[in-house]
Amino acid sequence: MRLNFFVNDAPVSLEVDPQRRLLDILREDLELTGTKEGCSEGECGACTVIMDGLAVHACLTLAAQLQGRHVTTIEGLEKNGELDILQRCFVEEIAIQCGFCTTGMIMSAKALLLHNPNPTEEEIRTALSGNLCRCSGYVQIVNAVSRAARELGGEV
Amino acid sequence: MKLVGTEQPIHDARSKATGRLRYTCDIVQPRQAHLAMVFSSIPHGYVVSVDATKALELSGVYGVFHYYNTPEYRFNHYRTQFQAAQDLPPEECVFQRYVRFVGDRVAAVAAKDPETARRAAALVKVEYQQLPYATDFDEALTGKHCLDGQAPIEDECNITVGQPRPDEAEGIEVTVHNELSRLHHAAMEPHACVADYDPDTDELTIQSPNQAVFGIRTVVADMLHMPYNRVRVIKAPMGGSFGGKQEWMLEPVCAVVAKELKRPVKLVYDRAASMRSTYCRCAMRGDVRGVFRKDGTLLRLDLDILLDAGAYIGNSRDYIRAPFGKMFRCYRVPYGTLHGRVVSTNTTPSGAFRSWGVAEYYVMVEHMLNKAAAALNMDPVELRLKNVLLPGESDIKMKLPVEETRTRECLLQGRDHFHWEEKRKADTEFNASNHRYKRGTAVACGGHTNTYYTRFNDFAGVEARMCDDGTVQANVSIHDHGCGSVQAFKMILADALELPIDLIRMGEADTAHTPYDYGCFSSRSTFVVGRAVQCCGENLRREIIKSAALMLDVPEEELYIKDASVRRKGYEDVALPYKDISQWTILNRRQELFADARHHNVTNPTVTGAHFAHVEVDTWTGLTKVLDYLAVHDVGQAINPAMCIAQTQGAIQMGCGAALREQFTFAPDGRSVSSLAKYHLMNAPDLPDIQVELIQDGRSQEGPFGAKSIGEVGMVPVAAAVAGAVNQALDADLQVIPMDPDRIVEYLTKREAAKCD
Amino acid sequence: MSTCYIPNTLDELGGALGHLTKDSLILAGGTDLVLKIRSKYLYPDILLSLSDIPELREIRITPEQAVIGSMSTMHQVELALDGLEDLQALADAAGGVGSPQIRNKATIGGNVANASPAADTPSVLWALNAQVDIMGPGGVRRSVPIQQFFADGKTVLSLGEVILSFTIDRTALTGWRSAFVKLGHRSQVTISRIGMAMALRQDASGVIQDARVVVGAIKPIPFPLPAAEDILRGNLPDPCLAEALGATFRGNTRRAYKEAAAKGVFEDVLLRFQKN
Repeated sequence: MRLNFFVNDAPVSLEVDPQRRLLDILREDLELTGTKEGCSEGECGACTVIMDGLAVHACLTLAAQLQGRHVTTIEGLEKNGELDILQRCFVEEIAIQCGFCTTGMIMSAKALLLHNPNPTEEEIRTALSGNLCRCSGYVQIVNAVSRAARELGGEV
Repeated sequence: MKLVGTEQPIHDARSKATGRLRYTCDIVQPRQAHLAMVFSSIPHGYVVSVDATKALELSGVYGVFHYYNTPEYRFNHYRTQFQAAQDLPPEECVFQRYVRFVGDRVAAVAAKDPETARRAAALVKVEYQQLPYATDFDEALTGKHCLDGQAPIEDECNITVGQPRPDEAEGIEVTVHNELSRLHHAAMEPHACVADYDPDTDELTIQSPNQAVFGIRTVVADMLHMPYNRVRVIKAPMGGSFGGKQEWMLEPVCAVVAKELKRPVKLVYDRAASMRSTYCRCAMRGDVRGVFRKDGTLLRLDLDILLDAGAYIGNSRDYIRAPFGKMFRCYRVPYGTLHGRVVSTNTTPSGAFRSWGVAEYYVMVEHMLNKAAAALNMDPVELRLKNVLLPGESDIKMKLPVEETRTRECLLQGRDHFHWEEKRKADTEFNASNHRYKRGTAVACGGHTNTYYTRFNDFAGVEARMCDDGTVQANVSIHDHGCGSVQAFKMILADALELPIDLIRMGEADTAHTPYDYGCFSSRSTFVVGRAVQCCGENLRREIIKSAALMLDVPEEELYIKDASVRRKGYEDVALPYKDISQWTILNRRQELFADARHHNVTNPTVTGAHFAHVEVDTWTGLTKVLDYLAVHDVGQAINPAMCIAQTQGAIQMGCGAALREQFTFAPDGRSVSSLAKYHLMNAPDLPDIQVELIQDGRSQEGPFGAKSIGEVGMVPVAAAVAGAVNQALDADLQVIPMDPDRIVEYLTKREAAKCD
Repeated sequence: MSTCYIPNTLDELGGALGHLTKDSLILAGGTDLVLKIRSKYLYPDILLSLSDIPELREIRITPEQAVIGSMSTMHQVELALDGLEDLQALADAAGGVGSPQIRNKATIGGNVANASPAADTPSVLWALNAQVDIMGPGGVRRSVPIQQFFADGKTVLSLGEVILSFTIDRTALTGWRSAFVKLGHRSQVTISRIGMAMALRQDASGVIQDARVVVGAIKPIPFPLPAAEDILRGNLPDPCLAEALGATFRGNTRRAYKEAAAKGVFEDVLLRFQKN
């Protein structure tokens, strides 16, 4: 099929098998390797991207579902060499260890803050419930998201 | 100390946050062949034939490699050193003819893209001749799966340490039994490897997330009869390991296929293969006996352990023995015995896992201590205070001083900050008035090591050189798991040279460029390699001063370093920047500014922690919530305290999973769980705000700045504390770990029924 | 490569359905199908994606009925129905499926059509007497009560049929409140081991006049539990009924764990009725 959609606001046109996974389109066809494959079955969240404003698993999304959609990946967060506030907070709050869960975690957090700019700790943990981290106990990750929310809200 | 002791993000945090860091799965090599594996679908038997016809018909398939069309390459996946240092038999082949578990390697398919390789692998037809198999201890002990000449018990040991106490016979005896399930490491990055072979220079290059590049080099070079200096192994960024990436499953395959195809290859395991076809933490059965004086003094500790090695013995002979030594590093054990037996089963082999058996042994020992506290009518914290080793004492097995140990302080501080007494009192009241939910607390301690010594002589080498602009490059064989070793060592070097950290470049292990090193095991990185970095920094500093003294024609004693320049005492205006000194050295001393350090340690202080867990068990559904958790660790000096804390919280997440729900199980047909949908980790909603505190006045003699280890010891007390808290909540003596909802409900149902009888 | 149909209207859908063969696959949210495609190496002759038909994503709520498009995601169902007392159980069930990422793609139609015994929405739809609105080849429509939709862990959908929507008669639910609770392996992001849908009609003093209890994840298809309904009628929805209610699981499951744990689920669902 001829797939026409948007990745990080840029139009993309590809001839692909309708059952090709978005994850493979991103990582192989578009060479955007920031989105990771951790489990291939929608359990770990490492492949989380934002599609039309919502966090979804790229490993469970097929080309046939992408026509005209807007997909944002981790590569789309940085603007003009400036890290997105979430990226900066993850770095500064020591929320990154091995880093394999990081990009998916940031995308889930980004999706949360798009809809809920002032989340409670419980809401953050629920928003990240589908993103597994094996290196940490999630404490710094939650702190990073909280801090990003506060900074975005104008408080410091 | 300017940087050491401060909070720093991991060295490549920005690359990870942007997604630009290239893990092995992200590497793209021109012309690369993607590999997909064919794994055994039977638990035990022979591969009679491999029919690749249909697979080869797919367009873009370069080849299918198996036992019958490749030389028989034999190796031992546990090997990390040469044979003289590690006497191990070559247990397996790269492609097996004799398969020993569902998931054993049968063939590799090479194709132009991953999907073609995957599809082609599914089309390979394998004919098997099946043999009887065993998947658990009881089956293994019958020997039904043994070939001629094999016995069910693969290895047996009896070890005794210390002397029996004269009053042992009057002591109070406490015994416990425990069964621990297998675990999956569940690093978020599945296993991966790339390799390339240059037929013109006969050179092989392998890149993977691994904990021992020199070990892989030894194994692969020996297997392929290649000189070691033509096998280059590079440690790639690692998305977690926890012990799961220190034994070799993918590298031998990639090496063989790269050599056969004479093109770059890439093999990325999916989660199912990482779970099933690499290795796991062993299943263990144990009986622990303690003998105490009435006042709580431990007189004797006996352990009887049965370990399931799985399909290959691998590290199991070492794994059953090594944790016994850690029994003498936390508590004062005057007399201890270990009777250990290793069986094999037709299941995923067991191998290295964070703490290397010590977490498992402490689950059992702490269980025994909790039972002893009840029998002796002593508070559990008091019982441990009575028995922990104090500064000035020795690890009587290693025959080394424990040095400045702070286990006692960890317990006292933890008891206070956790509000131990108040929680226990509140729980008693809560439980009395609550029919469905029951709460409990428990304490657990654990001890571990900082180095291979005294098991082997341990050492590390580091080189550092200054560029002609004053920046520094260091060659160190680091195998950072994502735990912050590179950043910690950069901080150490930066402090030694009083240089801003961003002027230091430090890569990781690469057999072509960095010094020989055993690898990242035994929690030795900071204590041994980090110390070598510190020494190297001091040596380079001396070279800088030496050059500066020559430049100024003054004695070295008059010079000191401040702000990346050399100053002269009493002369405010004299300031030689490093850049100038570096360039002068090249032009005048006819060498670059260079230093190395060869460090070996002769100590191994104990390193311990005390953990406190508070849980709430839903006695109707069996689900357990971790309400509160505090870990207090004696770390000597935290190089990067924020990372020490984050690491320990991760260990706590892992140990909670081990105690409450993680079990890597096998069905009667020999097929394992192979999905995270069925292997449940602790997720964000499951965990409380885990507290970790570091005690930093118990400095080690030989660690950099007095540092001790943290990576493995953090794991040791966790499952013990959580399991103890569940037993406390239920007033029970549950023995099987994990204490999952089914087991809790089964136990309570039986207990209820027994009451009615 | 498979042929791909991505209809944009119901008419186009009707046309596409006529082309489907037994080797074709219908793609709703994909959270179940993609796993199947990969694990079984499926290569359908036709892949029909329902993702671009706006009518299938509509949720129309009036005082008389709720019509929920089959392609409504779990997240959309939760948002639309949360707070509507009679339909709360469906919001509860949808809001507890998988993780946030799953809820943003998994659809209520896919959940029902896949008919996994552990699916969460079927038992709720059953308790709320939903109708399943179906379209077949050429656009032919039919409607089946949910109670007749499942058979032996499969569904009555024949080749070329898809679910268009679920219609719930709200006038019949006047005075009713509903709730759903699931018991899994952990508190969030888990498959259900027990799924419990409960609907109660209470009088002014809170006494239960009528009750519906439908259980999922125990048998291949949801099953009503009249014995539990009998215990509830005439009582207040008090958690103290939990143990008696739990006992009604006896004989309905071979799993000793589920039989024992049932009272926990009953108490939790009763507690939801206490909140108001």
